[in-house]
Amino acid sequence: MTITNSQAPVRRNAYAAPFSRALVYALLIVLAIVALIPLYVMIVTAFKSMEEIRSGTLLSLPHAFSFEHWWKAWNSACTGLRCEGLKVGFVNSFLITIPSVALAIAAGAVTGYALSFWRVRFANVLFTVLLIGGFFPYQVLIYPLVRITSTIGLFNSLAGVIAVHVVFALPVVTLLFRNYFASIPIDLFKAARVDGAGYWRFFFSILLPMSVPMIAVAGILQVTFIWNDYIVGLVFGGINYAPMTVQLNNIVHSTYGEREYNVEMAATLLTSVIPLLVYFTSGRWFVRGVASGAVKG
Amino acid sequence: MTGVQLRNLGIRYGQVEVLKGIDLDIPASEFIVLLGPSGCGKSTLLNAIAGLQDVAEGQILIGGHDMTNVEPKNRGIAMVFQSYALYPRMSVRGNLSFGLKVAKVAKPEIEKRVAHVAKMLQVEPLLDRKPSQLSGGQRQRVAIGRAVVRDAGVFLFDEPLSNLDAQLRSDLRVEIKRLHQRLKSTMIYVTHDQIEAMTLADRIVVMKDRIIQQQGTPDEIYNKPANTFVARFVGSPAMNFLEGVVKGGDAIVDGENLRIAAALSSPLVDGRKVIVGIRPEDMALQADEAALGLAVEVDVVEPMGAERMVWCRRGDIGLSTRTPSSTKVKSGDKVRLDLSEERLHIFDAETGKRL
Repeated sequence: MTITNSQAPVRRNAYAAPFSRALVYALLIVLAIVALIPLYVMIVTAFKSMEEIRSGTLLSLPHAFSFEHWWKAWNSACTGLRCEGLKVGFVNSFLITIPSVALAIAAGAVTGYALSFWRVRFANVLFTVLLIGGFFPYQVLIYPLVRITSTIGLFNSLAGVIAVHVVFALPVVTLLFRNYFASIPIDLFKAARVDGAGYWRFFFSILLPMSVPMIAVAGILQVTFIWNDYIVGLVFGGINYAPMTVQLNNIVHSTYGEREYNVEMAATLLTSVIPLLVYFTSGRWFVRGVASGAVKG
Repeated sequence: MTGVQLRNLGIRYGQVEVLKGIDLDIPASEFIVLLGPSGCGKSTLLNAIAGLQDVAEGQILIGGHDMTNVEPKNRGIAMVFQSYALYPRMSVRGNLSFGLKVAKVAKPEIEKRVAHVAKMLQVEPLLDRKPSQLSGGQRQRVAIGRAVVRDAGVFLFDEPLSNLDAQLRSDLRVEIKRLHQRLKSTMIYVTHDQIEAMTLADRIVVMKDRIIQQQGTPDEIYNKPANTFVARFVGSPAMNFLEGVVKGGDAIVDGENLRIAAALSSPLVDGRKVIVGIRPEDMALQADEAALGLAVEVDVVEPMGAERMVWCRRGDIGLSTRTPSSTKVKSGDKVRLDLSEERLHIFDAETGKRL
């Protein structure tokens, strides 16, 4: 009885399946094209000469592939007064992203651990405050943060950018880790306490090895978020530590004379290489991260 | 050897009182089982002994020392959990040696003790596996090993067999008993399974509603339950209860006279309301309708191989009895139940206490 019952609807659907499936695929293909056309235009334009850009149609393939503009974008395009290309920004972005992500994850993991396993006084209040922090539009906080960082002498420095990034990342990362730790059975913690493990011993010997997936998720989220950041880098980095995004904007928006579309496109693509690499190599983790309670990203 | 004493122990979660006035004296080497329904506070009590639960009032003494506010690791205890609680990223060897490493025991000594325990619990071939590669029974064996390796004077078991299937459960039950005979440590074992309690315990502590209902040997708990709760909770199927009123030294139950004098130390005054309890095995089923005993009608018969459970009805009253498989009765038969007088349990109808 059960078997016939469960099979019947499947067979009925077998009629409709090819049609609806075709419809779904058609829709997906159209949407994919719409989404991919700008990328395509960017890539082909980056390889075209300026003459071809002026004369040819937007969508045609370049006659001759030229890497010249890529090289220029990387090495000698003018970002304001200096004409050293994006490579300076690339290095700056790394200098900003790696410590920011590492510190944010370390701080978020430890905070999440304290909030979920130890009966911290006012843990719920602290957590609520963190959550509200996570929902706050960070543009609102820029000015107060400028005052704070300049008072303590971190304004216009690498440390300042990193500190601000860590502060902004803390709510999301803490939330991720707290929720993950909440799913770990409390008996594990009790067993370790009986075995003599204290606060840090349990964290490093038992919890952290179990948290590799969560560290990956938080890492991916924060790498893409911080790499793509513009405003924090612009405001707090000063001239010396402007990240790639800021330099890209300078290239695109402050050229004199003829606009070099091919260089601009190449520069844009170069800037997005790292986040794209992260997306492509870690799609599964990234989706999991977004799904597991991230409030922004 | 290490005994455990609890003195007027009380535990609260915020305003909610979870346990109160717990007094318990556990001599060294005793196997004691805390038995009770879920939510009775037995696991909380175990956690308090382990130092994993804050105590609101009272004292915990382990080996004669006040351990009420001592860290778990310094109490000389080891604990086994229902969920095994093995460290998932460590091998079996890592799990067994973690506590010793934390305690900074010398490496050769760790190896020696791990090897010894692994042999004792037959987990030697599993030493390099991860917990995820073990079956439930193997996991619990390793968890027990992790407790044994600590060389503690007191073992705490928190429903260690509840996640296992029936066969493994009885295997490991025997193994735990064997372990106790071998190590002679004090063992405190929490369970809601009365069979585990009866088979393992030197002494059973029955708990309900934040307090200890009765403590005694399995024999005492079974044959002299202190109140109707204990009487119903221990024994399967549960004890039968009949409401009655005392008249002329007998109890009048549904119009029938039951002689209860043999079960009482002193006679009761007429008119007192009582509950008469009788275990299924303490009555004889008479297929002959004219025989002595309580007239009932057979409701359901459950063959169990060596014997049968016969569920009978008398109006609103239900009674279960055990009979040999040779007794041929079927649903709807009119039979009589002969209750053996000296095996009756008489409880006060209001307080539920044994009289």
